[in-house]
Amino acid sequence: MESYKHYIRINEKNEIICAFSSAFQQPLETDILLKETEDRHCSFQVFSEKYLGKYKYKWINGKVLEKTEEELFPLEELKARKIQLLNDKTQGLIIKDYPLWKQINLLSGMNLQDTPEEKQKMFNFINVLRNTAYSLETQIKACKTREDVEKIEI
Amino acid sequence: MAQKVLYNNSGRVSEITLSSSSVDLGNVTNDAQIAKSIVDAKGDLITATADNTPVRQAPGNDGQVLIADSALTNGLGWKDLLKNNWVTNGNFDVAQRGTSFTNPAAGAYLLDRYKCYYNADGGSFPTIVVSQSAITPGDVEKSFNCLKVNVNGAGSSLGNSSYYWIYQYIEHGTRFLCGANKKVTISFYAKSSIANKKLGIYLAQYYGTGDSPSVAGHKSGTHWALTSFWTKYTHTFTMDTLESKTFGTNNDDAIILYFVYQWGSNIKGYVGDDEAETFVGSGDIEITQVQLVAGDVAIPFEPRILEEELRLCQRYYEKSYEYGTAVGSATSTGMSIFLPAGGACIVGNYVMLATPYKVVKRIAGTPVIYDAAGTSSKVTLIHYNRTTTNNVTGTVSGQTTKNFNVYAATTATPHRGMEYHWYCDSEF
Repeated sequence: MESYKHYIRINEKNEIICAFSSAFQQPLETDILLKETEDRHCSFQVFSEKYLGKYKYKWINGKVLEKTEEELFPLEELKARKIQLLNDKTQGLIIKDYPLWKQINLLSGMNLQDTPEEKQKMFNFINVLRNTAYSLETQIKACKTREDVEKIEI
Repeated sequence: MAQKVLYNNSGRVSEITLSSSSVDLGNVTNDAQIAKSIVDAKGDLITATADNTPVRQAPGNDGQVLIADSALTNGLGWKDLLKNNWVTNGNFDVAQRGTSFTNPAAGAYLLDRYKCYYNADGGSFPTIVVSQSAITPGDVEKSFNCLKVNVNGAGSSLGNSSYYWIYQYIEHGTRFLCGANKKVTISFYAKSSIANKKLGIYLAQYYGTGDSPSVAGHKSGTHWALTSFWTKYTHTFTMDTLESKTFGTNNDDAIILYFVYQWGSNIKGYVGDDEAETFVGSGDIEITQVQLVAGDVAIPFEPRILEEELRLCQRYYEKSYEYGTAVGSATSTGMSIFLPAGGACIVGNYVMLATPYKVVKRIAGTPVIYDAAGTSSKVTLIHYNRTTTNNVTGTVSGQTTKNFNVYAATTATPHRGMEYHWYCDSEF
């Protein structure tokens, strides 16, 4: 049977960013020979199935090592993503009840039919949402573990 | 007045009626009639070996069919119910990868499903061009294309272990067609403009990959000296038993059908020859109507409709490009496009697109992507104003037998999506 070579390519962080068979691609000088095999196809998957777009493996001391959960998706990145989600959700709730045109009308008094009470009601609504979001954001930032972050419902 | 006379003729009681004007011979047995004794069991038929030479045709086994076969004494034979042609693209009508390949690399695929491999063993092959070639209409009934191997010479100093073969993996052929005393029959048409050029065939009974499968068994075949006229060649192989054999866990057993175009003295036994064979000289070697069927009769070749043949080929190879457009061409026609309607612009992030196949693949295989300029492993980004940027690195991942994903790192310029061409190879 024929023999093929399977290579990997790494980046400056030693992450494996590409894997291929010599049947389909010729290696660069810097590529690393992983194995010689009868298999024409290299089935090595470089990306994490759980965290889209994240490289799953690293090349350390001549070995392929799977990244830890923390390496794949660091706690600080998880917090940042959750806070981003919180802000998007808060903004969405505000826009739903008070679209931008309505906010402008209430703030400017352009629409004579709007009353000061309605304007105050909008302020109160936005303040409640923002305070809630601020409180949740503080909780997220204070989390020490991934599990704690996951538990916070937003 | 009529008289009846009863008499015994070879054990039969016959009756002759005599009258004044005529003699009625009734059921008297003589040379003009077939004796009843010729048949002696249920299902017997009467056929002939020659003019005026009737003979009994005993019934076959249950499920067998009666086939006309001029090679048999009786002209008829009972055969196992014949199966379809197990060869894909036997008429060489499908050529998704291209129609001409000059000095293809060892292991390269050519016309769909056919692959080449070779070893000059210290020598040099001539320039070899493998191509899809049109057959003059009417030359071979039901064929319009053939596989042509053109060489510009015999080759030089080809070693004892040299060989040049073009072959096809017949998926699951071992599990379905092999076993003790099972037979398969290869047939094809061939011709050559090179005087006395030989062409050989042999088979491998391959148990696949994964874990520790049994070693493939090579079934020595035969060879023929081709002529300059299209001629049909057939050969029947008796396959090996499957008892005590271990199939690979990857579910990829196959019969491998080899056409051997050149062989050294160490390879000659594969094709039943007693001497080595070079390419002999410059010219063409052409084959078509390649067929492998269960049993020992080369049934007439029946072409499949193109749509069906293409679909069978796409289990192993599929591309986004138009059928006649080469992979890696600079074109945007047919690209997979990811462009969310009214979607926000994306900056500095990954974008991902899942591309489905038209035909489920044999295995997840190897998808390869190209940008609109034809550069591999790249995608084309589509910007908010519909301008595009080529040469953006894309990475294939998450491939299955049904689809694959493409990830691309975006640029600082806001964009709304991406597009790319692709092919997927799931061949053996």
